[in-house]
Amino acid sequence: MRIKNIISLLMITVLIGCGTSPELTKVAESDAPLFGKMKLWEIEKISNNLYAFRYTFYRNIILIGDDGIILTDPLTPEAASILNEEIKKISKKPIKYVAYSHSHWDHVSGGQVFKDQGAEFIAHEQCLNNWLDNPSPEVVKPDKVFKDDFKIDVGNASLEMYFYGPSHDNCRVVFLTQPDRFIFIADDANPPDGMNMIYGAGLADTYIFNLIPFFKSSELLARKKRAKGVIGSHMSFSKEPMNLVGGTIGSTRVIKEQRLFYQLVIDAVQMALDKGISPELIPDYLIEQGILKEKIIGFDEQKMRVLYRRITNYLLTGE
Amino acid sequence: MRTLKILIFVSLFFQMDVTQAGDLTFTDLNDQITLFNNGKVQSLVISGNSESVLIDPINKSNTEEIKNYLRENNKPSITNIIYSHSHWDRLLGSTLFDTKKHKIISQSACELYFTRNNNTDITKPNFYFKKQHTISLEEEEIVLHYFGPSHGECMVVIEMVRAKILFVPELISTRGASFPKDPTLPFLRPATLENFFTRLEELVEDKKIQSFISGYGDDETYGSVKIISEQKQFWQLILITAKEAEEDGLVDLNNFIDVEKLDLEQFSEYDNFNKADLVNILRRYTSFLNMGR
Repeated sequence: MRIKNIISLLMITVLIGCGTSPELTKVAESDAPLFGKMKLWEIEKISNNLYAFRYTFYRNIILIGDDGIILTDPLTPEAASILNEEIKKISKKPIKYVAYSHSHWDHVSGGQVFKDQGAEFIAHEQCLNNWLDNPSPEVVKPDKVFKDDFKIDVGNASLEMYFYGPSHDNCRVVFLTQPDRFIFIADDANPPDGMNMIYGAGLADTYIFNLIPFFKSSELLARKKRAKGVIGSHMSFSKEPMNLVGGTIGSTRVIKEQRLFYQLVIDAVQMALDKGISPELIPDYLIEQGILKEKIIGFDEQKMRVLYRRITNYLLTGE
Repeated sequence: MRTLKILIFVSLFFQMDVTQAGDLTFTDLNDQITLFNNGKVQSLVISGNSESVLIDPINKSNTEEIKNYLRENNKPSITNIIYSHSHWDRLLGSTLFDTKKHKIISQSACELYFTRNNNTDITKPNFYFKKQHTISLEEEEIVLHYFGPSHGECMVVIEMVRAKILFVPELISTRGASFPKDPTLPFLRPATLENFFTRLEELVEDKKIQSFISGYGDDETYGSVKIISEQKQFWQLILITAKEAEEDGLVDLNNFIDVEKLDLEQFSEYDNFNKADLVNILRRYTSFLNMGR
């Protein structure tokens, strides 16, 4: 193969396969600090159609099209209020839609400020059931719900929403932005690395039995749609606890790494069960053996004990 | 109160016929209801004139022993199998039953776990119900009540109408209100838990039920229904403590509460109290307050 062809092939591979990291431009940030040099909030421009808003440890995305604006997860009333002010400095177009990634209040509170402007709220149907079971005055209920997938269009930009079964809760969907082709999976697959220690080791409200299929479906989506990368819904912990990294965008390989993270933990616990280790002793046994200590970034023994216990329960009960 | 419970227990025990077969202890609670216990878990088999109903086929050997017990005691064979919830550790004897011959009953929210989480050691139910299902066995009537997610998505409470007994497989112990056996609360549904207990209290009040049986093998046979309210109060105390800790700024970035700053005396009254468990339980509740789930 000629050198020119090889270079072209490599460029295409980098562009469509592994994802690239386009230059992020900081559009606005708070004066108040959050942690070290990190500010309380910031808005970054990913493309002319796509922005990311980080408030404390949380992030959502903003799509701007010819016909209006799509926001995802309003986060909190404070965050939504800041975003509402800042977005007006970026675009004069109307906020037409708010899309919910899942049902957890820490991501979806504060939407009233956008509802008051006439925005239509979209969520998976099971999210609405969760909010009916346990309503929050700060969560605006969706105007429209869907079962499998849904597309929100604002002219030259759109947001695709895909439901691959229960995972982090029973209604989390995968976002795919168009035309930029970035994937956003709330609470998982945060750049730069899917092998990072997870925050909620107890996997409260997580449907473990469908985690691996969920990520496989997300990986397939990334391949089929030639996703350029992922946008992280949270900052990540680096090797040292509380050494936070931004993680706004990263490669789609983070999705696969996140799957492998869960698979490795499940395999480790299954191995211990197969060896006849008593279920209540499995966390101590795996910690003592140093299993996964070198593979999980920021390995935290206290959290891993909880995670091993949770996975043991899953393997014994199916839940 | 404790003395009264012991008296109730002792008086009931002496009326009961207890036999041992293999790993199981069988206790005839009356002419139709038999409790079986393998030391770790327990459940019931209820017999009429022509058929028997099994609640939870715990494992294969236990289920074989139950079948033998029914044969040896001239009781009819099992036709209906009730799954109290979806957890495999109570259903590993289910492959001894055939969906063509047996009715395998489960609450409909369990279906997700049986269909999308395949386990060839578990026979899938062939009958699902939503709120309530009744099985009549001559004088005894078995009513399955679903009060929403509590221990997992789909646990049911089973009422024996004539005997005025409830079977509550998880969440409450006949020994009294207590800390949960697993403080990481893997299956607890805090958003709907209080409602579950309230509905249970209403059922007890409405049907004038005096006692319940748990699914725990190390429990006393009967517990006073007052324990239901006491256990509900325990979870209310946990919720209030987590809320107050948030308001007082005692929750760290990892959602942990410094329990040394709490009034621990109110928790120490409960069985199985220990500080390390309380830390984990409260963390689940601070997560719940953040997430709503």
